[in-house]
Amino acid sequence: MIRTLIVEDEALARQELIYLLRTAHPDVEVVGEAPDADAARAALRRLRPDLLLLDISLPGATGFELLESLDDVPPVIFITAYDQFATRAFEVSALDYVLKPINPARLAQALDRVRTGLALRGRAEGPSGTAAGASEARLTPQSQVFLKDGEHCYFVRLAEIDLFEGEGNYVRVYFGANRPLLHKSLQLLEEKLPPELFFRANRQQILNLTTIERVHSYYKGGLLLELRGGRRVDVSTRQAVRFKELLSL
Amino acid sequence: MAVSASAPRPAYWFCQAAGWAGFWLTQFYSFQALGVDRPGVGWMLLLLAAVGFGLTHLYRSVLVRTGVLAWPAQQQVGVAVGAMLLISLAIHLTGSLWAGLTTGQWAFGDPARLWLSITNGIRYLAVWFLAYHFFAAGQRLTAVEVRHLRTEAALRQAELDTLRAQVNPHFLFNALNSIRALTLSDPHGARTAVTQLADLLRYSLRYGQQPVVALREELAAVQDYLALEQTRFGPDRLRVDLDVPPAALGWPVPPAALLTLVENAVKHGIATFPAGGELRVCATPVPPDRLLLEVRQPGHLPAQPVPADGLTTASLPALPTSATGGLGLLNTRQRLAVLYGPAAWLTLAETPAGVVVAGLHLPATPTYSVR
Repeated sequence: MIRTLIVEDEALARQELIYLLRTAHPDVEVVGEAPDADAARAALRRLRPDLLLLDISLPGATGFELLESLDDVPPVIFITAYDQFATRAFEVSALDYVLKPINPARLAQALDRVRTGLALRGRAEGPSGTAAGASEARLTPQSQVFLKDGEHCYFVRLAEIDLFEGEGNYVRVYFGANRPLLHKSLQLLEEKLPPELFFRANRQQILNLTTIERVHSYYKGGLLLELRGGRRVDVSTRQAVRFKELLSL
Repeated sequence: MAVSASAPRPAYWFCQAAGWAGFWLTQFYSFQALGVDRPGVGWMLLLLAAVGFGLTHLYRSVLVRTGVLAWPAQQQVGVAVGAMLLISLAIHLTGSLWAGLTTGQWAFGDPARLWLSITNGIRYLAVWFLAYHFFAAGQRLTAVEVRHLRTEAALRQAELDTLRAQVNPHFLFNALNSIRALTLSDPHGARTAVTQLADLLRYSLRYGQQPVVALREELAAVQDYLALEQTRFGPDRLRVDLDVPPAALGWPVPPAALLTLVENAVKHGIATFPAGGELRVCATPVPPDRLLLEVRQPGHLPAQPVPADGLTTASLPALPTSATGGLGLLNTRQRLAVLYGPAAWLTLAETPAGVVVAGLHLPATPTYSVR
């Protein structure tokens, strides 16, 4: 079963969506409904759904703002009536969306993609932990974050991220050729990130351990790491001790 | 205007040089033809041409600086004639000075020579003045025409945008989605909603064709619209209060102006609050012959500098929070300007805090006819 949360402010639109799911998709179970972003956040914490059906225009905060505020974003299908800018953003980043009134065939297509994605994700995480069963505080390498950079939206798995770099109240996220800003503190992020994948190299940077290509000794016992793509990161003296411990395991 | 004109173009320098070279050539030729073969006459003529060049250029600079070119034609002619006399006098004096210095014959006071010299100078200067003033006037005319055409194009564009914005696609698709849901849960409600949507669409198809409609018709469209939005949001989230005295129902109003304000109120007010709110539409006749239409909704205006005179109508667009909302109001303002000139206006204010009031101030009849 795909445990699904519907976030939509219009009662009739929720009703229509539930009807479409019930009649054609018995494997989709609607576990909750939320009319706005705050209710959605609470429901997400409580229910840990596999799928989010999300209306973009919500009262108060938009669907995008909701996603940006989440640590771990489940697979999402956006639902919108008509929004030029949003649909353009989707086209760029290949996020899935359906338009209201919902075409049942289009919904089926989007759900198929979700099914495929969930199956892949389940295999990657192995039998011991699914997204729903994982511990509350820590994210997994397969956890997704939602990043918005102007008109561009990205869903990124943590495993795909090379580096986090603190910039004031923001964190710059390096993945592929992109480097959007995330409105979070580096400290909070470090507490959530999976320690087997991410390492705090110094006050400013958290790096993905799998991207390290070379390690050089540096003065005062520090280290200089060469990362995938030629980026260089200093490891402070104190963290270098931890780094060596980590690698000797 | 003054900035671009104060830096002369290459064509100006070319005409100046060519004109004064022509002066030198023709004068030199006539001296030769008359058999006056004074030594240094070529140099004297060159000096006169240089004085003419310099003084006419000075005149042009003064014209550009003081904005004389914008004055009425008669005044420009007065200035030009005066300047022409002064410059020709200056040329005459230069010539006499040269003659006195080179030949020892001082002839400043000789009235016959003075007359001859000045008329001679004016022959050339008249060409300069006519050419310059006509050319400048032509340029000003072109500039005015360009500005006029631009204004017209902007108005056309506004009309086009209004037509395009007749039915807000976001609203239309949401309404259709609601109706589809209703067909299962409330078939009767679905039928009513289809009728309301059809009436609203019919109204929007028609309103591009008429400059004004009776408030009664506009109000019917507003009610259809609000009923559809109530279906969508639920009657608890969108509460509607209409207060229009029967006397105001026949008032001519620009079609879709009130509808735009109501749409904005729903979009930027009601829809942004999870609990919704109350939307009030009221019409107040303002004696002797004006009407005030107001739309109130809960919400906030984005902070913007309040003009010193306290007017709320000054800045455009009024709602930068959303491109379409601002555009809707901008369109309405432009249409009001086309129809009524300064006799109608749109206000947007937050009074009291937390309540946004949009006001449409209309006279009894349109001032300007629409093509």
